[in-house]
Amino acid sequence: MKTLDLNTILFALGVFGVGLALVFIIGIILKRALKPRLSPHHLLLAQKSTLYIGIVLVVCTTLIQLNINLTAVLGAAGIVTVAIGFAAQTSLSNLISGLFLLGERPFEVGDVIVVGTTRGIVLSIDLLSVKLRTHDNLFVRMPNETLIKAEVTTVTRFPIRRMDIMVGVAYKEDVKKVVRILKEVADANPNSLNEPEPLVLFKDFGASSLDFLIGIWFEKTKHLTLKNSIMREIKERFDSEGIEIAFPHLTVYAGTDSPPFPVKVSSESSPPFPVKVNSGSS
Amino acid sequence: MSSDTPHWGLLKFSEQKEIRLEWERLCIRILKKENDLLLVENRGDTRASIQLGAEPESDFRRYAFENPVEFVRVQPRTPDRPLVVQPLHPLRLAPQAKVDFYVSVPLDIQLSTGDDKFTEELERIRSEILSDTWFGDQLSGVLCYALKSRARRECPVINSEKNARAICKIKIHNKSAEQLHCTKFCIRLDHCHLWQSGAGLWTSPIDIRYNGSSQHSSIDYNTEAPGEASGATKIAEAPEAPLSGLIRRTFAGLGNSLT
Repeated sequence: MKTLDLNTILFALGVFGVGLALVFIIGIILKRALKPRLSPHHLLLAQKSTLYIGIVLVVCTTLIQLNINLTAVLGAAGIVTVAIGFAAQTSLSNLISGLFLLGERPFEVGDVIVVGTTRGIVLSIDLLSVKLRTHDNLFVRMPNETLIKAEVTTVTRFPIRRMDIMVGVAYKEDVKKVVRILKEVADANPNSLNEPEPLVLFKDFGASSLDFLIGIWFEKTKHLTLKNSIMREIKERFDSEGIEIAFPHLTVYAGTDSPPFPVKVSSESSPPFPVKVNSGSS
Repeated sequence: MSSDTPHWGLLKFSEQKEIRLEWERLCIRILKKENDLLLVENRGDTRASIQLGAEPESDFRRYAFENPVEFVRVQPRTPDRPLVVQPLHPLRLAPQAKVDFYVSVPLDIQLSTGDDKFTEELERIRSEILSDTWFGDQLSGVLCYALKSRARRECPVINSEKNARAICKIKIHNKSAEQLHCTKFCIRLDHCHLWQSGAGLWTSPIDIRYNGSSQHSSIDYNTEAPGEASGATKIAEAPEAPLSGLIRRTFAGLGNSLT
């Protein structure tokens, strides 16, 4: 390595500063130019690729200006990489996972995803982590490695979805009538898609109720609107038709071997049942 | 304003500084208060339900302008999504046969202020709330409105002043050697002009040619009024001009639009 004078160092610093500024300016210009043409996901990808490649080029140019032999640096980098690999195993794992996520594209910026118990809108997909905003406005940073290992549900992947609602009615109710009413309620809601048709299933003989499943297709952005309206409409329609929505209850039955409990109905003014207690010893 | 007043065009405020538009299932009131406009809509059997000063002011939408507004322009608009409609009876169309269908389309109502030189859009109000539906497969279909009314072979008589509806004529020509089973249509009206003939409104007619299941079909959006609307005048331009590229795309997609 040659001796460095002050001018060389200052020039190299200048190259580094100007180079970084240029990289950021190019990134901004690229973002503005591509924004109308690309999706947010691809825009982010293009912007980050430009940034990372640009930084690497600027660093290499600065090292050349400082008369540092890049071949030696790259050779040393191999050894350093092994050392760093052990020291920064988690970060590297996240980095590589991030590349897989960008390539595989299980979700994009703006999608709603569910990972474990976390549900939120994807704000950015970075090299080390994915940033989410939950529906209650919390910021969640999720390491890429977690996303590669875990089951990820992309809620907004397809343009239409189905909302499944379980409805339990009392055993005394007419099954055909309940099915008809549920179908009419679904058909009447403007946010419920006519096609694919709403699904109404008599699903189960529950512990306290006849259980029905109503599956309503809707456009993915109308989840909350549909949920709010359809639940209210089912309740209102059941009330108007005199259909009882079941609640958990228990019937105690003594069986045939023992006689049933004697029950006597009396008015409030009547004296209480006479109770006679016999002691076992007498 | 009485309900006898024409609903379309440039309307002036009455002495009570009010414009009232009434259709069968929709009533719109526009009140003028100094430089502001107050707008309210009511759906259902509304002819008697909206009384002057009877509603709480919170139901109104308010627009503020620099100067007092003298006129409100009321224009019909075709729905902002494709429509899916079923024929009154499922129809099997023999090879080389042609049929005409007439579809009654509920229109949107575009309200704006100003005269011909200057127009400030206020609101676009749907005359009828239509249910959503999906046309096509679940991954690449299109979100549409489902029409409650059916496509009929006979031309219906509709008074647009009462119903805010237009008639769309669809001509289907089965140019293939196979039978065409028509159970529903998906029509895009954003390439259609609107025409007025007497008390009725018409969209530009649509011609569909079915060339068989193995070939693309074609759709032509005519730029003229249908023959039934004699002496019609154009009252609204098509939101999107049917370009050749679009027609090519339509050709490609039409194979799925008749099922």
